[in-house]
Amino acid sequence: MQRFWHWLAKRRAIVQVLSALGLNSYVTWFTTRGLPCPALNCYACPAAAFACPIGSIQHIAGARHQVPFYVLGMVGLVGALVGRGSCGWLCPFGWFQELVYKLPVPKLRLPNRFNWTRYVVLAVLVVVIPIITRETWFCKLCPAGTLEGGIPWVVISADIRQLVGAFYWLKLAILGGFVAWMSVTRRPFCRWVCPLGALWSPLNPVSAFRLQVDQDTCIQCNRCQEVCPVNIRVHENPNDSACIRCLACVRECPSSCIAVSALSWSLEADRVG
Amino acid sequence: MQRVERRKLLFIVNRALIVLAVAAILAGLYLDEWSAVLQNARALCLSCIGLE
Repeated sequence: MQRFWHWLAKRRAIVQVLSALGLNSYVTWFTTRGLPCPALNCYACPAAAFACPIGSIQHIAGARHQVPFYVLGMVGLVGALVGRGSCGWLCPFGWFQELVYKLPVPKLRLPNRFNWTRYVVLAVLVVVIPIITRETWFCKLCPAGTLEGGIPWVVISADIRQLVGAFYWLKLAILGGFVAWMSVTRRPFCRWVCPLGALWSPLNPVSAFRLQVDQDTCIQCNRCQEVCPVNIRVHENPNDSACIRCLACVRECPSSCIAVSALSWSLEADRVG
Repeated sequence: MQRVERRKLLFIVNRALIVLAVAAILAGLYLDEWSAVLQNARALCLSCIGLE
């Protein structure tokens, strides 16, 4: 079974492409947009087939002043099963960040000291301010919305192009700032900003899908941290709340001591394969 | 022994979360949040485009 995870980890980019296409497959949008997708994929995208969970939470909690049981349940179910696995495998905006990071510019490795800021974004822009103002304030500033919704609509619709004003240019500037940051640092939006990642992060240590390190065979080479897109010390805490389950560490570990496992009642039955 | 106990605790928390999440989904469906999400997502989100 571990061979399968190695095989799959090498093909993660294919899964990301298929996910981006599937989440934006358009055809069924008239009914499937009632389903929140397990990724930050803007439902303003002309081709979006599913709802953005963060936009939906803001709408139900903010505009309707109801507890978003349905959306939180969907997000919680995904988190309880795979933690932040969707960030690493399904999120189109996460994939976009990985593509931008491939640009040949000097790179900057930032520590995780301030990555609690994503919880502040979740609390302030997704919950508190939308409830007070009844406006979806995270959406107003979201760079994923600009990329997937704002730019395509302005390109394809002459009517919408006429409505472009200062706020649109501000959103483009926010996206531009993030693109510059993405080109030098791996997945900055996921690490410091994403409120969906903030909802899933606390579920990583208790998710069913998990990583485990065989400390007897680990040679402490730190290769896992070097290849980790969110810069975590996998050999010390394989189920860190920041981990996006991309399995780069599993693929690259020279002593093959990092394995995928399923949370089970007994330790003996823990390792998958 | 302590590791086994911790693993059992994690297992219980995980299964409780799954049950809680499914209960929340059912509660949301009962409160017709599905159609609220659908209507909101079908309307063009002008905020997301930067036109509000």
